[in-house]
Amino acid sequence: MEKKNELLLRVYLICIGFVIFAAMIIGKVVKTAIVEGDEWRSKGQQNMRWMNVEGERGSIYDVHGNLLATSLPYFDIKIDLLTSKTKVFEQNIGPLSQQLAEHFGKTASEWESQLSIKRREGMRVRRQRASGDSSVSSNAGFYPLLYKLTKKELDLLKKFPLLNLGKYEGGLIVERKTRRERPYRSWAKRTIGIDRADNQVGLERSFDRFLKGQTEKRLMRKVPGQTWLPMDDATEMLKEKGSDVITTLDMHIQDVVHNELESALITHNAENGVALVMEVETGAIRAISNLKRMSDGSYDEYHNDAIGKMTEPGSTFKLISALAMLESGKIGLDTEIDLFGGKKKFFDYNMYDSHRHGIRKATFKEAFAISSNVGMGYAAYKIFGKKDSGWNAFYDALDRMGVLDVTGIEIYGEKKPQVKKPGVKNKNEVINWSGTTVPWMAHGYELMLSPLQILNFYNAVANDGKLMKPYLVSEVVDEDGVSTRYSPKVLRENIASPETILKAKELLKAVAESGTASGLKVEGLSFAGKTGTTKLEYWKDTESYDYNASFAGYFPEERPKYSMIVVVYSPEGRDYYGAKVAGPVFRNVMKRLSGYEGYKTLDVDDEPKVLHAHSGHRADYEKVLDFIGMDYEESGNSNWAEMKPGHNLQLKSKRIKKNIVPDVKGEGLRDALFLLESLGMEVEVEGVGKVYKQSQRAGQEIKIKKIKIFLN
Amino acid sequence: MNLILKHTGFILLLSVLGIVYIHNTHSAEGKLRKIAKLKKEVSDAKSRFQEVKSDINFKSTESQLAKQLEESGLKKNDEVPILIEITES
Repeated sequence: MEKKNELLLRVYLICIGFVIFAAMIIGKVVKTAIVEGDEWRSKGQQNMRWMNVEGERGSIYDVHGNLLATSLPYFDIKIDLLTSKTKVFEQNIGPLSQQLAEHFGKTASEWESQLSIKRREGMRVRRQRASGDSSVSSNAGFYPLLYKLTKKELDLLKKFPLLNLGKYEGGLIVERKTRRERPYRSWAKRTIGIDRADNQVGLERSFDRFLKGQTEKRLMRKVPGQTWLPMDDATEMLKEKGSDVITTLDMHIQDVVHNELESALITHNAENGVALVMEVETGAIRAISNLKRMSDGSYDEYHNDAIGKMTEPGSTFKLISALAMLESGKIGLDTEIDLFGGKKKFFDYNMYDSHRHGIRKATFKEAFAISSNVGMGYAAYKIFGKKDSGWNAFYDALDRMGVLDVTGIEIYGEKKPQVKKPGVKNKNEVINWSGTTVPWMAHGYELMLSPLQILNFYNAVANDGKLMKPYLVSEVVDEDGVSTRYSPKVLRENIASPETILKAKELLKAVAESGTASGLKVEGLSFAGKTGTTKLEYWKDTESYDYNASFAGYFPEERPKYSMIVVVYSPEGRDYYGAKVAGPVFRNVMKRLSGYEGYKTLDVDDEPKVLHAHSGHRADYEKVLDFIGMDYEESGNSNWAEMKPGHNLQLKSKRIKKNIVPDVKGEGLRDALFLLESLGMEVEVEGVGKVYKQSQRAGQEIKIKKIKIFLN
Repeated sequence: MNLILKHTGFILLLSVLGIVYIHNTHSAEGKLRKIAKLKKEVSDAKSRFQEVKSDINFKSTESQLAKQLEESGLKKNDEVPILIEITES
C-alpha cells in the first residue's frame, strides 16, 4: 500500500508539473497573440511583403540565332566602410587599392586615400549620431565603389582583399540591375530598337507586348539567407519571362551593308544615308542601316530614315511611272520619243536633264537608260497630260500598283506616301494638280515616298510583279518554346501585267548594261537597277543645289535574290550623282554577297530532320510487319509502340504518361493527333508527312494545352 | 489519469508525427532555398555565357575580323568568288 501511494504521489507530482507547464505555454500564447499581438504582427510584416515581381524581358535574335538585344545583369558595387574592424581594414586597404588600380583604373594611392578619408568621415558621423545628433546622414561610411560591372568583373572583384570577407565583415554590397545590351552595337540600332521607360523605338516598341515579362504583385516571405519566396506557392519561383523575337535580319549582310554605307558617307561627307536589303521572294528585310553624321563627325544610327523619311524620290521613281505608261499600252520600249536635247519648257517651267546631251530622238528604253527627265516627263505628258481624264488615269494607275499605300512594316513611324490627288484642293485652296504635275511626277518630283516604299516596287518587279509586304519579324517564341510564325504576306498579286513587268525588267537591265549605272559593272555578276539624283529645293534660284543620291535595284539579274536601295542625303563632296555616290555601295554589297548562300532559319530545338525511329499504334505495325514477313523483336505490351533498327527490327513499348508531353516524333499525323488529343491538348499542324519537330519538348509536364507539330 | 496512460501509444505517435512534420517543413524550406540559389546561379551563368557569346559573335563578323587582322597584313579577298556549278550529265 505504502508503495502504491508513493507511486501515485510521484505520478501526481509529474502530472501537476505538466499542467503547470501547459498553463505557462497557454499563457505565453495568449500573451504573444493578444497582448503583444500587434507588435509582433508588425514585425512579421518585415519578413513578409508585397513585391513587384518582374519577369525578364525576352531577347531579339537575327535569322541565324545571333543575339541582337538581350537583358544582361550588371552590378553596382558599394562598400560599407564601417563594417570592417580597424585592424582588418588597415591590413587590407593597401593590397585592395593595388588590385583596384590594376583592374579598374585610377592609381593605388588615389584609391587608398579616398577609401581612408571616407572611412574616417563615417566614423566621425557615427560618433555624432551616437551622441544624439540626428541631423547628419545615416548612411555615412557607404562608398559607391564601382558602377556597371559585368558578371565577370564582379567575380573578379569578389576575390580582392577585404571584399572577399563578404558582406558582414568586409562590407561589400552588391546591387543587381539589368540593362539592355545590343551585342552588335550600332548595327541596325534604330530597327532593333531601344527599350527605355519613355519613347521606345524600333522592334522593342512594336513587339513590347511580347518581349516584356509579366509584372505582378506577389506576397513574398523572407526565409533565412536573404531569400525571398512567394507565400502561396513556393515552387513557382520564376515569374513569366517575356517571349523571344526572331527577326529576318541577317547580321552578315548587315555587317557588309553598314560598313559599305558608312565608308561611302565618309568619302562623300554626306549628312546621312540609308541602305536596305530585302529578300525578293519573301519581302524579308535582311539588313537596314540608317546612318547620320553626329556632331563629332562620326556616323551613327539616329532615326529610322529608311522607313520614316519622306522625300521626293527623283529618278528612282521613273520605274513606277514607266510601269504606268507601259501598262497603258500607249507606249512600248522601242517607241521613239523626243528628248529635246535635254531641255524642255512645260508651261512656265523648264525641265532639264542632268546634262545637256543634245539628243533629240531616242527610244523609250534609251531615254530610261540614260535617265532623261525630259524624255520621261514628255512621254508621260503625252499619255497622261490631258486635264482631268489624263490626270485621273495616271492617279488611278499609281493607285492600282499600290503606290498610295503604306507597306505595313512592323516599325512605328511609316507615313502614307504623299501623292497629290487631281481635283483636290490643298491648304491654300489651290487646286493641287496643274499642267506641270504629270511631267514632274513622272521623274519623281511633286510627291514623297520613303526609301522602303520605293524599294518595295523594285522588289515587286524583281519578284515578277508580286508585291510583298516587307517584314522584320519571322517568329515569336514564348518561354515554353511555343512559337508563332509570321509568314510572308502578299500585298498585291500583280502590280502590272506579266508583259509590262518583263518590259520593266528590261528597262532596269538596260540601265545597268548601257545606261547611267554601267560604271558599276562587276565581271561575272549581273544586276539591274536605277540611279537617282534628286535636286533639293529646286524651285530656288541659286548657284548650287543640295542633292540626294540614290540607287535602287536587285541582283542577280536573271534570278533575283536580293533587292536593295541606297540613299545618300546631301553629299558635300565633289560627286553627287546617284551612280557615283550611292551606286558603289550597291555594287560593293552585291560583290561581297555573291556566293553567300542565304541563311538557315533558327529551329526551336536543333534536332536533325532525319528520323531514327518510327512510332505509332502497335497493332498497325504488327499487321504490316507480319504481312511483309519481317522478323522483329517485340517487347512490352502497351498500345503505342516504337520501331527501332537494331540487330533485328525492334518493336518496343512507348510510354505514354498522363500530364506529360509525349514524344510524337516519327509518328504520322493520324497517330500523333490521336495521342495528343487524347491527352487533352490542342494541336496545330504544319506540313505533311511524319512529325519531325514538336513545339513542346517531350517529357515535360503539360502546362499549356497548345502544341504545334511540324511534319516534314 | 488513466486516460493519459491508456492513450500513451497514440500520444507518442502524435508527437512523432509532429516531429516528422516540423522536420519536413524545414527540409522543404531548405530545399526551396537551395533551388532559389541554384536558379540564381544558373541565370548568372547564363548571362555570363551570353556576355561572352555575344562578344565573340560580334568579334567574329567579317568587318571586325578584317580590322583585327589589318596589322598582320591579311586582307579580304576583293575578287568575286568563283562558283562551280555541276550539272549532272
